[in-house]
Parts: sequence; structure tokens; C-alpha cells
Amino acid sequence: MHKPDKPLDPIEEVENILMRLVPAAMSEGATRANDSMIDGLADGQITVSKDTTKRRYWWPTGIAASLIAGVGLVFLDQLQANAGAVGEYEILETIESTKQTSYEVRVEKSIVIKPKKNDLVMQVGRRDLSKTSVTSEF
Amino acid sequence: MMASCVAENWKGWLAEHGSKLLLFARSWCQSRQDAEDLVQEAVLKMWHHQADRGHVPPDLPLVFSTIRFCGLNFHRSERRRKKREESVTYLNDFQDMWLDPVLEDDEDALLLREKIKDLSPKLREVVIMKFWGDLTFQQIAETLDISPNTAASRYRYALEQLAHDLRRIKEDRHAQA
Repeated sequence: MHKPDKPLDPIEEVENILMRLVPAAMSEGATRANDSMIDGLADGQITVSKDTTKRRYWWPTGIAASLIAGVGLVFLDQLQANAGAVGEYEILETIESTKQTSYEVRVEKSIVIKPKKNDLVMQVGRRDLSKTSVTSEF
Repeated sequence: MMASCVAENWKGWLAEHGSKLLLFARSWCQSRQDAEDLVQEAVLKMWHHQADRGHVPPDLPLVFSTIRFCGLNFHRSERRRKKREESVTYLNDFQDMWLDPVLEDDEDALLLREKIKDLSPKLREVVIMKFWGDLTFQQIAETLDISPNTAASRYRYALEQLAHDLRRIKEDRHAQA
């Protein structure tokens, strides 16, 4: 601290003068703008940040659950497909027909089958068109 | 309810420290309006920064550091803009002061006010942070990424320069009288 009987150090003198200066206040417009911005941020972002916190924990869980469920469904479906492939069929009908027109002879041999495990009826066979030598399988 | 509490907290904090921050921002801008925009930008950045910290107002050294960062960006863009618009004349508001004297007609204070503007930016920012920002040399050092000794040296050198300017002006006046 400065003693009255001692000449003032130039640095100390400057510090004393600086103490008599204060930063100019912000303008009213800027203060209003800042307050308004803070109100907006507080109203909006705090709510958003709460939701974000929740989502941060639940979204990965949801995605993981969906993936697990998807994999499970594919796995079950594959099992059913395999079971169908090795299952037995019941032959409902054997079809042998010959149809002749003026330009072709159509011979069809097919069977109508139904898997024992479900009611899905299918027809498989062979069809020959003699005149045009076209054979199609279906 | 919580949102309004947080908002009031921040508004109070800004009312207390806004003028210090504005003074620091002035070093980076030509006009008061630009400096106020800079402070607002820094407050916005601070808001997002503090979101994970319970939305409490930030520590001053961090805000000074953010204003400095924003100021550097502003300075860069301003330089580019001026290059583009060299023909435009900018009006200077001579009544727009960075610092106000506590007492009216305080001649020495008014003289030093002008001389602070003339300090080099490196010296001026240390003086502002130390004197009006109430930061320690350690905090100033962290803000500017310099050593505390360098911060203290700059402060001392700035005050010596101001003392020298003040003495010279007084001697000139004395000689004229």
C-alpha cells in the first residue's frame, strides 16, 4: 500500500488511475437480445436435452431388440422351411391328358399334391407340345 | 419452472460480467455492435458447453478464452470482407468508449482510457483480463496458452508503457503552460 510520505511508484499510479475506469455497460438492445436468447434456449433446449437423455439410452435398446427379433424370425422361418422340405406329401390327383388340335398335340402329365403339415395344394408336372417341339415344365 | 430458474441464473451472471466480457471483445472488433455480437456468440457457445454440466453459468476464464476464439474467427472473416469491400468507408463513432470514468472530468483517467486502446493487442488483453476480469496470472496464462511468467511480464510491461505515456503527456502540458 502506498504511504503518503513516499513518492508514488509510476506503475502504482497507473493502477490507481485504472481503478477509476469501469468497463462500459452493454447497450439496452444487446442486453435484451441476450436475455431473449437465454429465455429461448432455456425454454427449448432444456426440454430437448431431457428427451435426448432418454433417447440416448432407449434408442440403442430398441435397435438391438429389433435386430434380435429379426434374426429370431428368420431363424424360425428357416426351421419351418426345412421341415417342409423333408415333410411328406399327400398325392391328391394324378392328371394325364392329351389334347389335340389342328396344329398341335398337347400332352400333360402332372400330379396335385398337398403337404401333410398344411393345406397348401400344389400341381407339378410336365407338358409336351408335339408339333412345335416345345416342352415346358411347371 | 426449472427452465426459468436456469434462465434467471444466466441473466444474472451476464448482468454481473457482461461489461467485462464486452470490454474484452472490443479488442477484436471495430464497433461496439460487433463486440456485443461477439459476446452473444460466446454466450451461446457457453450455453451448449454447459448443457452437460447442469446448465450452470461458466467460469470467466473459459468465457474469455471463448471470446478470444470467436474474436480470431471474426477478425479473419472481417479481413476477408474488407478486402472485398475496400471502397466502402466505415464511419467511426467517436462517442463509443470502451471504458467509462467513475468520476466526471477525471483527466488522468480520460488520458489513460485513450492510451489503453493504443496498447498492442497482446498487452491489452492481459491488462483487461487482469484488471477488469479479475483473473489471476495463472488463469490468464491458461486462457492465452502462455506461461504465467509471460502473462505477468506483459502486464508489467503494459503498465510501464502506460506510465511512460502518462508522464510524457503531463510533461508536454507542463512545458506548454
